[in-house]
Amino acid sequence: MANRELEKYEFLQRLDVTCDLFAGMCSHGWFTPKELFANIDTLFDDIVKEHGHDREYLKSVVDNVHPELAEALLKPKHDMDVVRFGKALKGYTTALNDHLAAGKPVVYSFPTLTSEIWYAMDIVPLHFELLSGLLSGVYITGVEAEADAAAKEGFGDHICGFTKGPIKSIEMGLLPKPDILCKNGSPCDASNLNYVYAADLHNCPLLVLDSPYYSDDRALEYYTENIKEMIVRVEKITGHKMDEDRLRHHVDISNRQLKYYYAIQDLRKEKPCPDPGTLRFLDFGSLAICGHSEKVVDYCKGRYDRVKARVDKGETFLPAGKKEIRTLWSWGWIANMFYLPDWLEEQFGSTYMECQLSYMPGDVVGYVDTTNIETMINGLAWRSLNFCMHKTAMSYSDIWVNDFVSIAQAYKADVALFGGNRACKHAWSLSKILSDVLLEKCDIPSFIWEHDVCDKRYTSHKATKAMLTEFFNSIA
Amino acid sequence: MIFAGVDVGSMSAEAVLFDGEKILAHSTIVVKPNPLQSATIVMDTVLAESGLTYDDVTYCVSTGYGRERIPFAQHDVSEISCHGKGAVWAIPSIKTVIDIGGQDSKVIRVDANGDMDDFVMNDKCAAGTGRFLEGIAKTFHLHVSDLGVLALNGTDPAPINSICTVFANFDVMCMLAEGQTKENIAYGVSNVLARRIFGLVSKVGLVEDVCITGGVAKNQGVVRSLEDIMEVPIQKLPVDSQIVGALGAALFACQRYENLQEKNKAEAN
Amino acid sequence: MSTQNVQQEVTPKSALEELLTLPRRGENPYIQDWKANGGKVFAYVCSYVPEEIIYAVKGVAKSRYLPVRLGATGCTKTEDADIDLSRCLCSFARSTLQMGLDGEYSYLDGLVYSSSCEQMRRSFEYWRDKLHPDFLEMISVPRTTDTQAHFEWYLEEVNNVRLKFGQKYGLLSNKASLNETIKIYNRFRELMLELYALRSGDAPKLTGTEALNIALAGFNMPKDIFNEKLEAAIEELKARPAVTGYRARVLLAGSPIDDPALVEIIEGTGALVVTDTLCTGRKYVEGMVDETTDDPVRAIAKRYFSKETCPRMMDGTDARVAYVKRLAKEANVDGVIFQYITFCDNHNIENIIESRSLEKDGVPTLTLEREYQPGDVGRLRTRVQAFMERINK
Repeated sequence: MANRELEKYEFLQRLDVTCDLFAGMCSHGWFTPKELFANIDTLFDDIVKEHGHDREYLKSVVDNVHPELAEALLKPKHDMDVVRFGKALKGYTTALNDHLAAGKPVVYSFPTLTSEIWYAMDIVPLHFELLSGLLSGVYITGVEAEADAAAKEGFGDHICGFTKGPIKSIEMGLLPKPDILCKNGSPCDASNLNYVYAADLHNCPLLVLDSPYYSDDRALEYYTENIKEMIVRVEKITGHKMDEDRLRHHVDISNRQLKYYYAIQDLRKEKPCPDPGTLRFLDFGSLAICGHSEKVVDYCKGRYDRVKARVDKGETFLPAGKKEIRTLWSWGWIANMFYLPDWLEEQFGSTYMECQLSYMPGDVVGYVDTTNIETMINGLAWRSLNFCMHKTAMSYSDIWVNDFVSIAQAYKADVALFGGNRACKHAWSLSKILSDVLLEKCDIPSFIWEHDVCDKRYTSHKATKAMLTEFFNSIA
Repeated sequence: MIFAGVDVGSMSAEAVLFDGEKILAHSTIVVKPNPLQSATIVMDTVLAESGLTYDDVTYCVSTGYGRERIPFAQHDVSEISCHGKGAVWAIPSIKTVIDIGGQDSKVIRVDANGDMDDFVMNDKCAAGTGRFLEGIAKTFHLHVSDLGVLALNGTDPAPINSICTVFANFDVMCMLAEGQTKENIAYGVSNVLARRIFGLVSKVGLVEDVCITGGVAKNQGVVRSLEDIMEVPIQKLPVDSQIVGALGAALFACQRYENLQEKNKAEAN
Repeated sequence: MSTQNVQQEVTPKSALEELLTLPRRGENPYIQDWKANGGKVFAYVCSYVPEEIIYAVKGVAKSRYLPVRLGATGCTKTEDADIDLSRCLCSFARSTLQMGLDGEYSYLDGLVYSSSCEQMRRSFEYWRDKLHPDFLEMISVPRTTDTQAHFEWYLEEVNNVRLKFGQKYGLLSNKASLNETIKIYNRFRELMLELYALRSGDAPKLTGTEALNIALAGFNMPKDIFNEKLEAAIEELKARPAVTGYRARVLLAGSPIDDPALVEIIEGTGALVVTDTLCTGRKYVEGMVDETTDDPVRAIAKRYFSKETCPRMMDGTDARVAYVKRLAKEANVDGVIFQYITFCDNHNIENIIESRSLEKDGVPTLTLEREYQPGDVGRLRTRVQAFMERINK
């Protein structure tokens, strides 16, 4: 069954095709782009047959994939995880298609509050920033044109593609018009104002979950009340009702999903690191559709099983003879350079420990108590307060700094890369403290550089590779 | 009657003498450290070439850097208005004027009289200005004026993605090391500048006819890239693109003098 | 201040002259006097910190608390702060930290932060760890003003800071001192609005630069003394001839401006800033504290929470648009100049929303991107002058 409703919006169509490409190209046992392209007609036949996409469109999309990414994803260390991710995400896009086709409300929600609440209200929300991230990571023409359109409107040069990419895409017809926007205060002013701007432009309600600048009990209680208030307002606006059983169903899924997530995190401390870094980007994608369906659990379980097997067998995925350099990513991954961790593994034996966007300590974040609706909302609020970007941006710098010192120690990191998105003020303001502390307490040198998380023109891939080559050569 | 316009830019200074109907003379010099000195020298030059003195000038308008401090000018007008005025005098059908200078780039929307309806000026970033080209030319050990010809000989623009000049320079060096031809790199560089300029144009809105003024207008490589990206032809000015600001100033001098005469006449009555 | 011992030949300054030329920071004679009398001085970083709760603290004898707005007027370099905060933060945050590092605020006993914007709130840690002020607190300000729960949170935050003064110094404001302070502050706001009316009328009696200089004095003086001076200054202004020779009346909007140099550049092109929507200008004095309630802290918090909002609030867009339009109309402006400090996302994006709406109504607008310290004078002037030429076409 084709997702015809998504075809009305280029970004959603591309997302939908991306799922099928991921699942398709990595499931045949082709390990190189050469093999892939030799068999590309088979791939097209399969996808067209199963998902009903237009063949020409499919071709144009494939031509637009970053060749380095295709090369990375096809590798045996990634392939089956990519397949499972594609299927999990396909579950979401299909649900989204049906949701839109049924004329249900279009909701844009910021993913630092995971979406179980929305699913329980029979709403499949969209996350336009993550979409920007994914599209810029997978495709050569990511969201640069859309970012330029925002710049024309007056969005400053200091605002990054994560914010500028999506904002004009609704007006440009690439995404559907919103009925409701929902945003918490994390992580930054620009992302908040983006929602204010969109609400004004599309004349639709903006529901704000107020993120306090602390994460103590009082803050939790307050934030929980904010979520409850939001639910009431959504019920009033849309007529959709909160369903406790449905909520329990989705929370149960996300609890099981996170069980594997936490377990992977623990196994990643092993030496050599048993888990390729490029997959952390997909993990983030799986968090964005946290609790959506059993397929997301399958993805996480699949990830866990492979990592566990590597540990049990003492295997490494690093090229033979490469000495491991355990690398802490003290900012986060670069969305537009999705394949970078793979490149670093292959070139320098640099493995990816944790980053600000992947780190979710199980002992702190824990699980959501499914006893009743109160405990579930409270648990989801707690998870949100401790979600990446929320935990780190919505409180004092100490949290970020202390987290990374403990990660550095627990993971026995050798170096740190602070590839900071140019617009992340809360990150840049602590880059100096963080690199100083890592050097003093853990004897870890940091390499700091600037990029735009989505717009690859800011720091070109070439420049990034050249700088990192110089850095890794200098420490060798 | 003789009207004068003097325009001091970041790289060159120009003066134009205008008699109410046509350009009598114009001069261009490389700027001196201080704007007053530049203005004086370029005026001296244009007057000497025409066999005239300051006393022969009925009214003078200054524009550009230090425009408020030119003692022989009776009035000053921003270079934004002057470029619009000068361009429309040269080609009456012009609606959009792109002025790419050494430090600043501006896009100006003008009405049929050459008066400005709207404008946008680049932010502090150098990527959309002549300074960007200077930096690249330096990497090639070339004079900036040779970059345009070089770019025109390029066939396949080097894919320079970085917007930031620092990183763009980095890209260029990597490409040279990889054996890309200078021609194709120059072509790629022209495209970067053109994309940046197109960003400004889009803020004001693209309305034909379009022309380019300022020193970079002479760079045929940039002109080609801009035409390709904007998908509209760029009108060729019948006057030296570099003197358009000074010409506009001279036109304002004429206009302002006539207005003052009328006002005086009205007051006398 | 003690003027008796200054027996010099010079004619004493009139109230107006004094307010227009009040020395900054450590040179400020009122701050010097305050400290000499055993008073403490606390800076607040944003207009979501209610000054009254500081000012109302009563100690023994003359030991009182003076709230002043943190500013870095005249800061010329930020090289040390750049290393700490990086160049990705706005130059206001960097300039204030730089001046802190340079010892320019040695008269401060402490600071009260608010979580209002990510630029300022992220300099908190550097103040804490490098400058060790005696007192340093944060007020977490909600992002919307439309619910009771958010107000209650804010009130609690405000009250917590009030109580921390007590815990730290053993001194606390009480109902009587709060009520007295509220009266002084409300009177201050009335007078400032009267001052602003003098510049927004048909025959403006003062320039925007002058208005900002007076406001700056108000930020840095005990409000009761300032009120007396301002009353006198207003009389002086009324008596003097109106400002003439300007080319256009403009409203100034956007990021906070506490450096008169920027307004001077704008007015140097023939523009006259007759009104503004700045949080260092008109917005600072809009809205009175209710004097009739039994709970002064609540009344104070209420005023700060429900005043004309800053764009960092995620609600109230329509109200802010209506506000700028109302002021533009009241002051009969020819155009509106928006500006934002590079990296100030709140004002950058809000400016787009407001200016689009104004342009739709046929009001010409200009948007300037700038640094906190107006170093880029030539380029700023060119843009404003061209804007004047557009308006006067």
